[in-house]
Amino acid sequence: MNGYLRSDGRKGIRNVTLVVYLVECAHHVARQIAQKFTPQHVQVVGFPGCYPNEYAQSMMEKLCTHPNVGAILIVSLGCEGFNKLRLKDVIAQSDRPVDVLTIQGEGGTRSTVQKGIDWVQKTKKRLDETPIVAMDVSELVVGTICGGSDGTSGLTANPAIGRAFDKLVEQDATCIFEETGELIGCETHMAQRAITPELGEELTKSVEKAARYYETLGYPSFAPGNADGGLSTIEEKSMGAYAKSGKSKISGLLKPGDLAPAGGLYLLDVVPDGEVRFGFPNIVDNAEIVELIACGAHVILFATGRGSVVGSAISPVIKVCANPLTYSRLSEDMDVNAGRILDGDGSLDEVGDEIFDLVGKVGRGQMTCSEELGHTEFVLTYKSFEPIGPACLPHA
Amino acid sequence: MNDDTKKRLSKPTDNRLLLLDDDDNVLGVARPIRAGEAIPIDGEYVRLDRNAGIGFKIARKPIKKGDEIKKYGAVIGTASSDISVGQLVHVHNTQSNYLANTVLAGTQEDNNS
Repeated sequence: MNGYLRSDGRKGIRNVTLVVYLVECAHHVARQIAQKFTPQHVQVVGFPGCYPNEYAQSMMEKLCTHPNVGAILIVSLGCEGFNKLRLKDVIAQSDRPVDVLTIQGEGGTRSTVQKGIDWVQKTKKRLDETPIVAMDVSELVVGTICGGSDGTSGLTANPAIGRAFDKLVEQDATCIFEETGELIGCETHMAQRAITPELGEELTKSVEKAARYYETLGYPSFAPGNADGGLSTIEEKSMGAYAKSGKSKISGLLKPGDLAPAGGLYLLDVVPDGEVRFGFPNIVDNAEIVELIACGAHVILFATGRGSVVGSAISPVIKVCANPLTYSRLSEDMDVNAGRILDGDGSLDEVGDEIFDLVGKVGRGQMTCSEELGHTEFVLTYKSFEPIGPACLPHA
Repeated sequence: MNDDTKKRLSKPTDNRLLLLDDDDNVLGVARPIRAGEAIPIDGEYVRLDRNAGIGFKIARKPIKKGDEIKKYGAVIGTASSDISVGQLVHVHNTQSNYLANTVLAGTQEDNNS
């Protein structure tokens, strides 16, 4: 595997240009700029709100300096609350090409779009000069998520991803799983896998926080449909999702934007701290994918039973389809048919190996289905987090 | 031939069933099996008491009332009655250790095929 070498020593498996809108009012202009290019090379990300939020600011800084990102064009309306100069400074310090276009100062939509297109074209030469160096599996960061789950998710796709995670962790890659709200019931088992008892307590606390948060929101934790699909208890449902984490020891607890200090398996806590303020902790799968990417994930393993079709900006998404019937309907969107296990065609270990091998191929540049189809979904909203405590990263 | 394969061949289990962890006392159902069908589980032929649909579970070992139900190598609930090998393990004989009084609507056999 080869990677694009960045100034902080991290390596990327893609070299994308981001066009970043800092408020919804600048979204259209950003989109018009990016539309002149292919979605594999130039992608739109942004934050819709007009009022500043430290989480969004810091997330955007992490995302714009992600190793898969080579150049950044910031599009501002001009009067929004986002601190664009701080964002530009952080990016410039990482040696990436960066510029800010302010629509109110550039003379409106057409002239800003034209200037943006010119900038992206001009910057391509510098992007092409990014040094390409050898990259080891141990330098990879892999995230996992499940969405559109059904009764088959916990039987095939999730445990197969767990097998792939075990192989990746064995080779010292960084693997991150999340969704603490769907780990309710797994906290005792999970705490026993922590590398220190203190970390175990932190893992338990993160799940208890999620339980409280969902209770305040009145979120149903176990719907009749779950039982109709064969799930008997909330902890069984959680265990299905938890199977994605595999069997490795858990090395730490991260919050969105935290970078793992070394290879190993980490839990990402995506539920905000403090009082319930900004609504649902995970409004949609792509919000969690963005949080995994902010933690440095180069590639995302996405388990789906019902059949999600999303990809993501910045990092490729490998979709692992749990249900053989869904696969036959949506095969153009699915990278791995884990549902074949239910047809007696392959074991969890075989599908786990297939996922592991595919991570390597995608790392070497092979496009995933969602990349080929031009999916570059991105969601970033308001949240707030306290920094993690020292017990969360015992080996830092 | 590795040890796992030998074990499987010496104690055959129906290939519509999936063992997720060696510690488990339940098997996942990969493809629907009808009530009354006789199928091998760890070499022993047993008849299913109910229809078992995709994603459901049946007992791999005898489970006593109050025993832990284990799937994925983890506890996913407690048996609320005695369960013999081959019986469906679901909301009628399994209780959550977290939300014991959860009312589950629309979860009967009609959906389980």
